[in-house]
Formats: sequence, structure tokens, C-alpha cells
Amino acid sequence: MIRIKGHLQRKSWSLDIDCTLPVEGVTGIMGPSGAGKSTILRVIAGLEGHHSVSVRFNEHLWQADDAWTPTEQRRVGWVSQHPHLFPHLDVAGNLAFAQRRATPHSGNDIDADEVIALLDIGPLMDKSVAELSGGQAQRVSMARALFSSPQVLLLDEPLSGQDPGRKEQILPYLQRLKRRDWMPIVYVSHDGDDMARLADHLVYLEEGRVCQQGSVAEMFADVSGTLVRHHRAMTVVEGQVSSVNAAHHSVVLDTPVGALIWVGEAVKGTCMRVCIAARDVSISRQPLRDSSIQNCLPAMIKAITQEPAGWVWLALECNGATLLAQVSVRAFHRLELGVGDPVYALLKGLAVLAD
Amino acid sequence: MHSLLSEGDLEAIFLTLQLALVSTVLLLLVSLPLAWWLAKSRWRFRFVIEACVALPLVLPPTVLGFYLLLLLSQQGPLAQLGLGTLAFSFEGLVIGSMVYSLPFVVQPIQQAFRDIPDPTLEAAATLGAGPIDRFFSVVVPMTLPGILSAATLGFAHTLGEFGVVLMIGGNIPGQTQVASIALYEHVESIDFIAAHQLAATMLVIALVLMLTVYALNRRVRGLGR
Repeated sequence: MIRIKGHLQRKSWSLDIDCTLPVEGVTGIMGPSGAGKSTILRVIAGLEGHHSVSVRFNEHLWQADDAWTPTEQRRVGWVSQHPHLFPHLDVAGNLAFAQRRATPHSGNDIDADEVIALLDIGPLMDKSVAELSGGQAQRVSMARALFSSPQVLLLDEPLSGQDPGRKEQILPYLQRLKRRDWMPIVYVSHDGDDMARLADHLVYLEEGRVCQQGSVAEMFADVSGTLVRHHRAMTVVEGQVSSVNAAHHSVVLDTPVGALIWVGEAVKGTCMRVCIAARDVSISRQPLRDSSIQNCLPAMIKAITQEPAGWVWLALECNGATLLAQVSVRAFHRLELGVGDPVYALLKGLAVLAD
Repeated sequence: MHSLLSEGDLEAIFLTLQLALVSTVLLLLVSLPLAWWLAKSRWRFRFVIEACVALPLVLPPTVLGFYLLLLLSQQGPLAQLGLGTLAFSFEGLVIGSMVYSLPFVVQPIQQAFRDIPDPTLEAAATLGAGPIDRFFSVVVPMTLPGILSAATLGFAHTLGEFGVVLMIGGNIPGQTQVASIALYEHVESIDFIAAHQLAATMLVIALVLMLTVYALNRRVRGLGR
């Protein structure tokens, strides 16, 4: 558990911080710009040198009015938007820098070869930092942070870079990192879709304060919550590949809401996180047979939430789990939908993140 | 060369090189922490220290030499402290040279330190490197070409010292008679052949040093930071 509380005063801005973050799995921090997302990571790392904010990491008091643990003793891995590699060292030298200073620690035993394999660093080892592309440099930066065997990994928007395509280059590696579960990760991003794919627990900040927090599935399904006011609502579930159709380049995913067909490559047995945007779920009274839509699930309407902007949220019970749908008020009235009605949920798209 | 230069001139050149080397090494020891402090400090009166460091750039060397003479003389404050009389000695020349060349060493290093991005050092801290460790394993290697070029500049500048040496060292052959003063003596005594030989030697040494500085600078830019 990381507990941060206090006030930060700078020339051009000030921030009241009051938040508690779990240190388990991936904790996402979201919020509008200026909410203090990056600042909170910097405070945790001891990079905002102020005693006015108190930081407690599990049972250790890292900083307070009369306490200060310097950054180098906190053993946090910090990866920001820019890789900040050491230009006077090559890739291997950057990694060795971290490895030499890693304190042997119970728990997070990082196997160097495994990190290099996981992040595909092997072919880059002898290169100079200047030779690396943005995505490669970011991977080296993540490997370097892991090599210091930190007790928590802080990722500050590692997917936002100058170069287009950076996100696609890095996201699969973050997913691998998450699956490997070496250490808890605190992950800051402004992008809700990335969050839905990566985070387990989510904290939504506004002006330094937590306005909503909970599991990712709860947060994206809470239609009255702050997160859904700023980001589209989604159903987030875990799935597993149960069969592969090589001819159609598609797989069947077993998920709590039912078996779903996804067009993509994956090996049988692979676990995947599936995000289904409420907007991509349509409702039909009849099963649709002659349609290009692949996924049609029998469901029952469990709850209805109307909102003023012309949309209606439907919580559907599918196979015992909940699937969220967003339909227009007009369609809602035309179909004369009511709680307890049996319907069919038509899924127009799935966002799936695999290894 | 040996046949061209008289023994006295060789002695003067040797003494000059020795003075420049000792001064430069000591100057680096002083300049690295000072430049780091100047580059990173947010103290609002930092500019006062910066101005003092820059003072030898604009002050006539004789003015500097005069005050140093008072400082180092038999009745000076250093002698009162029990350090003895340093004027007219090699040690006195070293002190004089250090003050005289200080800005030439501090300023380029300060600039190189200022160019290091803070997040690079922050990254080093999160990787477990404490302040001293960061200085020697990140700051110094990242700015090494700048430090070397500053040291060469300080060395070269000390070679050309005249006014300060004249005031605090006088003209004792083998002890305080440096090349520039030996050259002045040759001209005074209208020995132009000796003057030519000594001057040309100094010119070559200075040129080689300057070529080193600019080659180093080119390498720094070549790194494309």
C-alpha cells in the first residue's frame, strides 16, 4: 500500500495530494492533464524533494516532515515518457549500471537473461544509445529499471512518444511484463483504452485527489462514475483461447460472458484480456443469423440507466456475467425494452490484447 | 632543438610546463565541485560567486599580481597563519596561476554540467546511485570531453602567464623564471636570435594545445547530443 498525502507548492502551480494506491498487480492512475498523475509518481520516487508531502510505502515511512529516504534507497524502478539512457554507455553498459547497484533482495529475483529475452534486448546489447529507435530505447529503459530489481515499477506514460507507432511497439512488451508479474507496477496514462487492457486496479484522479477507484472491470462498467464521464464505458473480462481456426485467421475465446470469435492470431490456451466497448454492443429481439456480425450472445436485461444525452445504458446478464450495452433512446423505445426481457447482444468489435 | 635553445631557456620552458601541469591538476580538483555547484545551485546570490570567478578574465594581470603579492608576502595574511612566505617561490606561482586561470577551467565545465538533463541524473538515482556515485559514474563521463578541453585551456593559459608571475615570482632562474619572462629578458637585452627561438617554441606548444582543444570540441559536437 502506498499512502501519499500533503501539499505541493510550485511557482506556477500547486497540488493537494491525498491518495492511497495498492501495490499489487498493475495499478493504473488516470485523470485529466494537471491532475498530478506524473507528479505523484515523482513524489513516490523521491524526485520532488519536498517534506510537505508524506509518503508511506507499506510499513516504511519514506518521507514526512522529519523523514526522508533518498531516491537511491527507495528501490523504485522509474520509466518515463523519454528513455533517459546514459549516452556515454552502450546498451549493455546501461544495463550493467543498474545491475551493479541492485541490492540483493528477498522476493523480486530478476533473472537478467529472462528480462533480455522478454524485452527482446539481445540484438541491441552492443549498440550505442544513439543508434536505437525510440521504441528500442524505451525497451532498454524498461530493462534497465528491471535490472535494478525494484520493489515497485513506476511507469509514467511509457507509450506516449514523439514517433508514431511507438505505442504498438511497446504495448505487447508491457503486457508480457504484466503477465510475468515480477513486481507491482504503478502505471500512469491518459489513455483509457490502454488502461483497460493493462491495469488491474484503477485510480481516477482530479486535482491530486482520488475521485474514484476500484477494479478495472468495475470502473469501466460504472456508468454513473467519473471515469465513464470522461471515457467510454466497457466490459472488461479475461478470456482464454479454446480453439483456433487457421483458415479464417480467427480464434474462439472463452470468456465469462460467453464464447466469442476474434479475428487474430493466437495459440490455444493463451489468456487474453477482452475489452468490449458498450457502444459496440447492439440489442436485437431476434437472433441475427444473416449478418456479418460474428458474435451474438443470448442475454437478459438486468438494469436500465437512462441518461439525459439521448443514450440508455443496459446491463445485460450473459451466461451469468454482466455485459454493458449502450443504445439510443430512440432504439430503446422502438424495441420497447424492459428489465427482465430476453434479448440478443450483438458485438460489433472486441479489443483484445494478447502476448 | 637542444642546440637551438640555451640551457637557461630550456630550464625556463621546463619550469613553465611544470607550473602549468601542477596548476591545472590542482585547478581541476577545485573546479569540478565549484562548477557543479555553480551549474546546479539555486541560491539567489550565486551570481556573486560567478562574477568573482570571472574576475581574472577582465582584471589586468598586474592588478591581480599586486594583490596576490600582498596576500603571499612576509607580512601577508597567509604568512600570519603560519604558512610562511610564498611570494617569489614556485608554490606562490602555483597559487597565482590557479587564480589567474580559474575562469578558463570553471566556465567550460560549468557549461558542460548545465547541459546534462536532470532526468538522466534522476534515472541514475532511481537505479540506486547516490550523489557521489552519480557525479563520478554519470556526470564526469558524460562531460569528459568538456572537462579535458577545459583542462587543456587552463594549461595553455598558464603557459602564457606574464604579469602575475612578474609581480609575485620575480625572475629567479630555475625557480620562478618562466618562458614568457625569459623571452622578455632576451628582448630587453636585444638578443633577438634567442628571443626568436624561445618565441617559436612557445608558439608551437600553444598551437598544439589549441588544436587539441578544438579537436575535442569537435568530438563533443560530433556526438550529436
